[in-house]
Amino acid sequence: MKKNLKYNLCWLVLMVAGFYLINTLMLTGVINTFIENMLVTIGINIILAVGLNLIIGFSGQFSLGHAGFMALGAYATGIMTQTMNSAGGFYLSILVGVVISIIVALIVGIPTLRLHGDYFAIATMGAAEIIRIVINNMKITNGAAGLFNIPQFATWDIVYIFVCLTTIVTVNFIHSKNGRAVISIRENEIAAEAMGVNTTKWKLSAFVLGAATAAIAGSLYASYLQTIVPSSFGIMESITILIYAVLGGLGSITGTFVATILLGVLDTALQSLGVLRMVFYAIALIVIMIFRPGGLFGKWEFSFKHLLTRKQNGDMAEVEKEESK
Amino acid sequence: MTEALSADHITKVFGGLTAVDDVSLHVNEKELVALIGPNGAGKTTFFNCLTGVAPATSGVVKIGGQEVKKNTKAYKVAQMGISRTFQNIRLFSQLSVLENILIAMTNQFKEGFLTSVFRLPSFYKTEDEMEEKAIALLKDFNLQDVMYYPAGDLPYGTQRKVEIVRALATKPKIICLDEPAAGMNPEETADLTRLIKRLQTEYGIAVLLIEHDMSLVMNLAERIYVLAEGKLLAKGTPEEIQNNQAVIDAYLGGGVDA
Amino acid sequence: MHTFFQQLINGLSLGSIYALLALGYMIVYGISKLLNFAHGDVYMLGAYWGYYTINYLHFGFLAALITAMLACGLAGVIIEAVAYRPLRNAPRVAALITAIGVSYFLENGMSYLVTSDTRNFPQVIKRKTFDLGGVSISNIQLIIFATTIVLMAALVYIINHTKTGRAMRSVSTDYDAASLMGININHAVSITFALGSALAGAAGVLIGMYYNSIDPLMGMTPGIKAFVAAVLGGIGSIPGAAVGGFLIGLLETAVQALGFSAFRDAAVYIVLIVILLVLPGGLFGKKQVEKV
Repeated sequence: MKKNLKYNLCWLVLMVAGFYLINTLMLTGVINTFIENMLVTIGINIILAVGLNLIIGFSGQFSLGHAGFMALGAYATGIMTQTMNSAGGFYLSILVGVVISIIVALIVGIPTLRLHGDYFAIATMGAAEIIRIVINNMKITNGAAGLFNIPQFATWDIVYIFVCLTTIVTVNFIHSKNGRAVISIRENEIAAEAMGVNTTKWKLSAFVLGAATAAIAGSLYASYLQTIVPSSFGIMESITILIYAVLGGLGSITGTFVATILLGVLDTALQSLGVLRMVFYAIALIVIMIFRPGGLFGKWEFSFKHLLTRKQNGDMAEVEKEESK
Repeated sequence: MTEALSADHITKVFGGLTAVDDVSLHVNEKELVALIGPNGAGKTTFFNCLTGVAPATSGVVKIGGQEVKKNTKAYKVAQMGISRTFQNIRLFSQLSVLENILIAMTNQFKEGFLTSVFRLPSFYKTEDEMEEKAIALLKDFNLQDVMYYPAGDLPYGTQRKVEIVRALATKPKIICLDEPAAGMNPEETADLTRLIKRLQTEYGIAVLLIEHDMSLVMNLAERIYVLAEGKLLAKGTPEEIQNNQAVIDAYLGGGVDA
Repeated sequence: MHTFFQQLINGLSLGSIYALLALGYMIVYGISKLLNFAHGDVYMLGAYWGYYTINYLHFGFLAALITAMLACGLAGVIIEAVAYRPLRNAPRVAALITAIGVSYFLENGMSYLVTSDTRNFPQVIKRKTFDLGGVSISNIQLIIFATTIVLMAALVYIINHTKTGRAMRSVSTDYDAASLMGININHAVSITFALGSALAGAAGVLIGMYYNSIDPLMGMTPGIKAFVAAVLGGIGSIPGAAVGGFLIGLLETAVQALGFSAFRDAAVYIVLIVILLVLPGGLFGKKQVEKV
């Protein structure tokens, strides 16, 4: 118990320190609106990519429809906060978005999770497109024109807190008995079943949890940008999220963080190049994948437990022992 | 005497091909039974029928006296008390040996979603308890030195061993071993023989064994079933099987050195 | 009844373009197991090739079509060699990301070179409309249809009746076994990409003639639809990919004719999901069973 407390405390200190660092830079004017915008976008993308990594990297189900769940959250917030213009209304809208997203994830997941590999990918892509097209043709969502003047409740600090919360929930889920059951499906579905693991249930759990966090990201996106259109939640958005997860390393949350930050900064830095920006972005993708096919970090995770035990005793066996916990 | 496993009139048809044809078999509690037969006799298919991977077209399987209902999913069949290894090893190869064992213990512990996500004290308690049990099991089979290595990085013989211990960790009534000695050298086979014997004597588990290594089978099995072309050719004690003319013709004389 | 036949003809001509794309997608997928997101962009390249050769080199229809096929085939070979071959033994998702990278590269590279403006495709053949008892059919539609049939027949011939086709099929089934049989894997993969991309190039020229307008992002949606068509028909089946393509063309036309044009794409995906749930291997595909 006590030893775990120490590591958990380390993480807490890191999160608080990060918050104060950004806060100070903000107050001293080092971070201007332009950079703040970049940071918030990165934060929202981290929430999305961590959730997708849970689905693809840990449960091994290749989903290509993440943007669909993001859209559900975004529109829940966009629609609800227009009549409930208060912080309470905003949080309620997040909750509603999450609930809708979970319900849709169950409806989509229960039949399609039987499909394997690319067949599942194209089915989820189709489902997300159906969501987008329905939103595109509804009155309450204002159709293709989208919603604007959405009240802004999601400031950078709210986004920061949600990045921490969703990551803690996801990582703790992965490092638990249930998470191990999820990973066993990725490793070998037939063996997992033979060991009594209810593969359908755990695949669905990972899919639903990923969808729920995507809805949260969508809510934050809508409230921060104050404008949403259905076309922002198409296949291309799903693919963008996929790129973050794969580039960092499927099965590495650390990698997802680094890749999302790296690409977010690269994207901003190249902004002045206009069309050429995407050309360079494309070349960067190809080159990174050719040289690091398993992603930047493979399945490696940063861990305080690992770091601290290595310092305390040089015994490799001890380190390995702690590492696997 | 109670039966750990019984299979009555199992038939499995693929398209037009009858892979397993009306085979009945039983394994008593704590009994060590072997299933032998030439390649393509339908042994693995029969295993798949028993464990629910590919359910039988007709016939009844009972595990610990409890009937396996039609369309029961493989994981539910496993939860009824049958565990297995695979002909082509199926470990969770990127996970550590310890994690392989922990996954097999999934159904013996309860750990709520919220407890684990918010790391409540009971989470650490369950985790510690699980780990303690898993490590004790690994120590019992002298695998503690490799328990933090990825299972897929281990030598072939050790992987086979880990797979058997993983099957044991589900606390089954019966373990089905699909060619556990395949690809092993004589030393490893001797080690394996002792291990299988221990499942029976120390852990009180029934074992059903598919194997081509006749010395292993004759050493271990109390009773033997012989399968040929999907049909049950003979059954009996090792002596009876060794002297059965039909078996000698179909199998032992068929180019396979016994 | 007239409208029905009219829509049938429209659906078939649109469907034949999807079928060409789907066939190319399918053979490339079959051999590389790669979701080739750049396939639709090769089709865009084909359309632009047609645009420039007809406008500036005054090529006729056939010359534009054939040179577009050659150029796109070459582009396919280069894409495979540069972006996919280094990742042949890597996790499949890595190759998927490079495919997306290639797609971004082609779309944005073309936007940079020729601007992202929509252009009018030159009328290389004067549109004539024939009236068949109230149902109108244009010569362009007939040409699209005929070209598709000829190209499909050629593809089937190459795959089923030539030595190269046999090599392609064996590599699709099992890389290692094929290479042990002395088949040059790189060669077979290159030829497959050349053929698949050539079909995409032809489809690009045909769509340019059909819709009269082209732009650098025109390949995105058809590329995805081509994959949907290939999955619908059943990966690995040539008639399946063709039927899948025609089916999507007909479906889209039908939904549009019924006045639900906003839900055209949704209908395609709903049909896809339903078919996959009922027939997990697609219409003509074989069900894959993992051996235990």
